[in-house]
Order: sequence, then C-alpha cells, then structure tokens
Amino acid sequence: MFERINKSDEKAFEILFHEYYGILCSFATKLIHDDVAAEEIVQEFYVKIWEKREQISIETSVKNYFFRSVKNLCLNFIHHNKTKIAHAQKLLSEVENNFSDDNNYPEPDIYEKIEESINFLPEKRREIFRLSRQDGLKYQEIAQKLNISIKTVETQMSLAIKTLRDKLKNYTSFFLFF
Amino acid sequence: MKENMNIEFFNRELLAKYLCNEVNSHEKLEVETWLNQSVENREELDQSRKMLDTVDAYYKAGSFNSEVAWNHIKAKINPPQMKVIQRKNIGKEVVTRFYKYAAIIVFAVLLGSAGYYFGFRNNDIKIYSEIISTPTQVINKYILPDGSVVTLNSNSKLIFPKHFKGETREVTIEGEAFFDVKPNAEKPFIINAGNAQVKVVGTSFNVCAYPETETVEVVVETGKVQVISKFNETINGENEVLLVPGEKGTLFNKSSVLEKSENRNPNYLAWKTRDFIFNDIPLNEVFTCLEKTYHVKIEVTDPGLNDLKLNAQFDKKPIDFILNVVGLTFNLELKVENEQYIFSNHINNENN
Repeated sequence: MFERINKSDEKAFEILFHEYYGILCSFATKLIHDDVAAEEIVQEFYVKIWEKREQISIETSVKNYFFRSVKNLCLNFIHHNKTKIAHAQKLLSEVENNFSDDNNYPEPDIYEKIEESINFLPEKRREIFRLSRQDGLKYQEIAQKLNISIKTVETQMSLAIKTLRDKLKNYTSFFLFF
Repeated sequence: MKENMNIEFFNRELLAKYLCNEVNSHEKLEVETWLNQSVENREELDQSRKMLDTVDAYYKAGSFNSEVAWNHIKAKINPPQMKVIQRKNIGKEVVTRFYKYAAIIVFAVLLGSAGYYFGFRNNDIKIYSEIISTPTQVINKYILPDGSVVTLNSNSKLIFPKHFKGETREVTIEGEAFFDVKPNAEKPFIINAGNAQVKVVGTSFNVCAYPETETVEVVVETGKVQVISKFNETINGENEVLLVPGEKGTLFNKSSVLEKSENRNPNYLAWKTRDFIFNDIPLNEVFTCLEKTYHVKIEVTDPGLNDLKLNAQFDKKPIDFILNVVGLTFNLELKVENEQYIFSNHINNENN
C-alpha cells in the first residue's frame, strides 16, 4: 500500500487516511488529553507524510510507523507545552511506560469487532451502555433519562460488560495498548 | 471454571459499579477486599477494565470526523504548487494593510460606528494564512477554517486568520474569487476587497477586485449580499447596496461611486466553471473572455473579424476545441505561433 503512496497515488493516501484517522486521533487524545490538539497533530502528520512521500521507506508495518510517528509528535507536543500542561511530567512517564511496545498498537479493524459486539447487545442494554460510556452519564442520570430504576441500570450494565468481555476476549492482546 | 465460580460468588453488579465509579466508600472497600483475596479476582477485574478502555477508545475514535479532516488535508496537499504561508507574527505586508484599514476604521469610529470597530478589534490578529495563485493557476475549492469554500482565480491572493475569533469572520481578497459562505447568522462573513467591503451571512457569490482594475465587482449566485463602500464620502449618496441573485454591485475606485445593476454577463463564473454561453457576442469580447479563463493570447490578422458575432455554448471544453469551432463557424484559419493563437481569413488567403 505504501509503495503506491511513494509513487504519489493520492487515492491510496486517502484510503489510508480514512482507515487510520479516527484511531490515531483517539490514540493521541489518550496521550495528551486534548481532543483539538490531537486532531491537529494527526492532520499535521498526514500532511508531512504526503510532503515526504518519496523519501519515506517503511521497514516495519504501516500501522507501527503511523502510531510511532504520532506518539513522537505527541511527545514533542507535551515537551513544548510543558508549562501549559499541569501534569506534564506525569503524562511523559505515562507515555513512556504504557506505550513503549510497538507490538501492541491496535489494528484498525478491531473497531469493527467492537461495533459488531455492541450491536449484538439487546437494544435497551446497548442504549444504557452507550449513555454510560460514550456520553459519560452517571447511573442516576441514565435512570432519570430513560425513566427506569437505578437497579435496572446496574443489572443492565453488568450484563453488558459481561457480554462484551466474552465477545472481545480474543482481542485482549490489543487491550494492553489501551 | 474457577474464575466463573469466584465471580458467581461475588456480586457482578457491584463489580460493574466499581468499574463505572458508581460505588460508595463501603462498597469500594468490599470490592477491594475481594480483589486482594486472589490474583484471579484481580485479573477478572482487569479484563473488564481493559475491555471498557478499548470500547471507550472506539467511541472516542468515532467522534472524529475523517471526511471533514480529509477535506482539510486535501486542500493542503493539492494542488501541490499552491503556496500556503503561515505567519506566526504577521508580516510587513499584512501589517501595512492592517494599518491602512485601521485608519479607515478609526475614522468610522469618529463617525459613530463604534460597533464595527470593536468587532474588528476582537478579531485578535495572530496567525494569518495566505493563499496565492500564480498567473496561470486557479485554486479550486479551498476550505477556510469555518468550512466556507473559496475558489481563487489566477493571480489572486486571499488572506485569512487561522481561526475566526471574535464576532465576525473576516478575510481580505486581492484579485478574483468565488465564495460559498457557510451559514452562520451570529458571525457574519466579511470580505475586504480593495475599497469595498462585502458582508454576508451565508451565500455564494463572486468578487472581482484586482488592484490594477478600476472597479470592484460583486455578482451574487445565491442568497443576499451587502456591499459597503469604504470611501467616507460617496458622490451619489449610496454607501452600501444590498444584492440578490442575478444582481451586480460595482464600486468605481476613481469616482467612489457604488452602484447596483442587473448582471448581464452569463460568463462571470466561467473562470471557475469553464462553461460559456455566447449570445451574439462580438469575437473580440469572446476572445477576451477566453484569454482570461485559459491564460492564452488570441490575435486576429484582420481587425474586421472582431465584429463577427458568435452564438455558441461550450461546457468544459479545452481551448483548442473552442477555437476550432470558432474557426469552422466563420471559416477562418487558425494557426499557433509563439504560444499565440492567430485567426486569419481563410477565403481571402486561399480561395480567392
């Protein structure tokens, strides 16, 4: 795939862009705790790749190359913004300790598996789980919003977690990365 | 099996609550005591925690819009010859312009238009980008930070801030551009075009303001556009006009007259679309229009040919095709010499 980009194939570049954009942004957010800056970093990374497309030779895998580059850009970002980020030191050691192993970057298609597994949940349970994890609502808030008891939320959440854990257990090796 | 036994003995819902930070201090202690009882118990919890972290990252990834981002990237990498300059501190050229406009604005304040002044000041000038097109290049569909789309004709320059802060979205154009402004009623879009200012909420229109020409022209495609003269005194009293689709606003730089008229030129967007309609148009006007769009030179050997009137329509045709049609229509001979197209009278030269 990257050979096509080496030869200035913009279509190939676009495909790789969409494949990795969300997952790289999510990864960068995890590292620097800043959505807006994370997107800027990832976009800047893509522009740089395109500008240097003829010189780049990837020896490991595209995935590792992408994640490692974004990780380094994030480290630079933290260094440059040390004064602004209250916990810069903590962040730096967190990145060094938790994201030092190149073998643990997730494949972009793990998100398809996650989506499949979430869709497997009964509708009501899926909605409760989504409100909790995606929207970050407390049990109390979910109960009020859906007009159900907190006890129901507790039960549904525990069942959702159990199902998803079982469904996704084959992918646990990737979990290390997060 | 053993893990399952363990978890059956323990309260699964309590574990879920613990993972979602929903436990009180008593429950927290209960879970942590259980965790410390065995490695398996801790693994049990860690597995679920890792799964949740991964799912959270999945939701997070979904919150980034890769289509919008791709448009930004595409505009940055394509066309490759486009020049984008990032100015950390605004450069000399822009400073000069800023002071020039600032002077006009200070004057406006004296006249009592304080609202506009503060709108401008809030525009916090920090990082400016410029896109500049070369004499033969049209920059297609460049996306501005607010999502508005601009197509820049050749030999033109657009200056805009990296982020639209404050109460307006303000840009400066030299040359010609077509704007498709993203609607935002709370943040009007303002274009500084020479001595004119164009103010809109959300619409599409063409601005032609090359510094060397005597007019600034605005033609509206959709929506409503307000054109404001920056001259303090206007001769006929009109300081601003409101344009609707099909109308044209013209500011004459010399006389500082601002007027509104019907747009009679169906080809005002041809530089962008390469679609032409000619209804009884003399050849010299046809050639001017083609020269501007295709960046070529077209000559005639006999000035009388200029008066021939063309009726034709061309949609996205190469210049060679169009000129061949013109040649066949009027039975003219077409030659190319020194990168110039030259028409001469076929019949006179050969048949007679």
